[in-house]
Amino acid sequence: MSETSNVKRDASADAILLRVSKLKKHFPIQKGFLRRTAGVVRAVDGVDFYIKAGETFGLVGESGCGKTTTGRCVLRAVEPTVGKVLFRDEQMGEVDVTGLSEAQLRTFRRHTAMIFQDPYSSLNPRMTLLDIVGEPLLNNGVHGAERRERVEQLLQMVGLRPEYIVRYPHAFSGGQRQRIGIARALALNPQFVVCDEPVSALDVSIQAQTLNLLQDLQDELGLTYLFVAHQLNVVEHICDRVAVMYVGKLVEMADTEALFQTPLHPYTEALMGAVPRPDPRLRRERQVLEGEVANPANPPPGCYFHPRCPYAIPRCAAKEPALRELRSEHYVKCHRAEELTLRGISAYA
Amino acid sequence: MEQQDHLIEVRDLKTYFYLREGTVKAVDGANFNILRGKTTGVVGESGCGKSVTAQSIMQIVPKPGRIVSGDITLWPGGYAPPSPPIPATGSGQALGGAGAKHPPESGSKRGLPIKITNLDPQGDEMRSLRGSAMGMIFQEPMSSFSPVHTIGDQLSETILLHQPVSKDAAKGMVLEMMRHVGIANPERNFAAYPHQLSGGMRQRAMIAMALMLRPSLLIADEPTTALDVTTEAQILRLMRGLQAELGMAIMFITHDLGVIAEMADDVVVMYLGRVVEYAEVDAIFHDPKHPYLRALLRSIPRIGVKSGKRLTAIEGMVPNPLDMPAGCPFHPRCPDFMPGLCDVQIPQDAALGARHTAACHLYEREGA
Repeated sequence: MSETSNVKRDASADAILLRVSKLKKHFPIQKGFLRRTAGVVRAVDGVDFYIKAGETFGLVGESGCGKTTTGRCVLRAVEPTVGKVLFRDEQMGEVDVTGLSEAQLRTFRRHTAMIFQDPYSSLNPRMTLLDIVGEPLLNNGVHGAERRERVEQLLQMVGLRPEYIVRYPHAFSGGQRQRIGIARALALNPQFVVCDEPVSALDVSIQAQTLNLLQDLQDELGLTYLFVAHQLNVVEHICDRVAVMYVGKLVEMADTEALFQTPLHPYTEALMGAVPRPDPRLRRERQVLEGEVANPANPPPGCYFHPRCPYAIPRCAAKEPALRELRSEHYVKCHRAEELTLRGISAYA
Repeated sequence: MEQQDHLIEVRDLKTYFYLREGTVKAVDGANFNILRGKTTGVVGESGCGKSVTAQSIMQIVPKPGRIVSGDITLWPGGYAPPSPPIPATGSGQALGGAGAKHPPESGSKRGLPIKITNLDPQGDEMRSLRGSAMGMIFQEPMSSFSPVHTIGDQLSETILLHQPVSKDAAKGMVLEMMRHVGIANPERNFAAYPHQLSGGMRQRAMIAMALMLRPSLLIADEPTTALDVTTEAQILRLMRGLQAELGMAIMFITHDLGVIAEMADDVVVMYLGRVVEYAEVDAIFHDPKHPYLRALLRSIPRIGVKSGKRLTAIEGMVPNPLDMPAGCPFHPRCPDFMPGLCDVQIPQDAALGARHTAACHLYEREGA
């Protein structure tokens, strides 16, 4: 492979299911009657990461940071502008998702799936559960009684009664609808599932059930998850490794514990300082990150975070830092990562 | 003496929605107080009635809902700030002056209690209370502002509707308030339309509008839910700062227990239209009594705490409000369910301390 990514491919490389290199997705901004392109939104702007087979890999960041677009590019639900997405398909072997032919893409899509955030808008209200959960089966030549049986089995697997098969989505609560979405995603027994904010729209008392379900299914079926979310507590709970994104760039990637306990990027530190903790005894005057997220259509020069960064030096505005492996499997994109001592989550306990 | 601290008293409030499909008891017998100058957090899941409770206090319950019974009492006296509310800085004087000469109720120091529930929701009295005695901010500031008027005009309108001042004077007050809530470049943003501001800035503008007339109560309905964590931290800090300065009480509605722990002095926990627990914030998190609250606190993943592989989830679903279970609304999901009691009889608020109540049969028995 000739791509010169700083993210290593060695040692545990055989366990790697998905490797993303230099992935970019730029959306044109069109203006006026003639739809001239007036600029581009750099939604994803050169992202490198890898996901190991069987793990849950978290992608966190604030709205507009490109985490959802990254998840979609990986499945080619949107066409990446440039970059490589290498996937170890159980049938085709290692393939570059960005270069798949139509036929290969169909195979790839049998082996991957997506769970969406909003359980209301992601289910067609005019279809019964049989049609919703059974649609991927129908598209792959499973019909009649066999399909029905499989749908019933899937419903049971996600904790819904098989009798519900004839009902429409409106008859279900948000948590139940999310289970329907999960059943649909699992219909073809995928290897890899992108979960895009799967619990963000759910009530607190329903989130725990849903997270437990996702974990049980992973154990049972040997799934690998890309878990896109903005809730740090959820990410810490469910993910094995986590990457933090800021304005289309990946700024830090590490094992969950390393990232939360010993963050290396000032933005990660700021995120942890900002999350409200459910314990009034931890209340204190915290350092609050000033300013607002940079505009991805017009990002600042150098490191995108430098205008808000409390540790910024002139070099940060002049030159964009590279993503470097500072500790084993702990990557950071910051000029000053070696010299800074940042506060992890335990600093607030 | 304790009575004096109460700004708002809610007693046995029932607000129902009469739908074709049946009656939804959105709020079904709520009791709590909002203390002057303090933050009362109201926490619960969607459909628990927390927003309708706030709408009842403002008397803006949307049709076909209405307050069926119960009392909401406002103890004014907080109308006229005792001292100029914005110290020193520039036209703060103008603002303080406006507040001071404002409502007639400020004649006596404490004022007579006003039964909000007796007022006509469309009447002049209620109308003048909104804005001047209580202000409200919402989750999505984009949909709360008119898209075709500038921020400045919309903020000025609040003043012009309530006070006999000139447009120029109003503009001065607005600019001062905008500066106060941390809107950069107030002169330019005065002429901006809501869509030109970021989410965080729009929420700041919303707060400016709600606080323009120095209300003694600010009702904040999920004010940070639509914001990112770093912006949320900024807004929470702003609200704390404004409270310390202006001394208003805040009714802070949220589903986020983290935000409650951060902001509230007292907490009202609601489930399906009922207040299941009401206590000071420390007791809510460190001595929770109601099985729902206990289970809820167990079920959230705690950041920085090894929670093990599985979360202790609350089983089951929130029941359909049109088809409420008999007895305690939580009994179908409750780990402490007592057959023959919980599914038959609605539990009453049991006093567990000077300022701690829980509506659960476990404690009724203890007390009896």
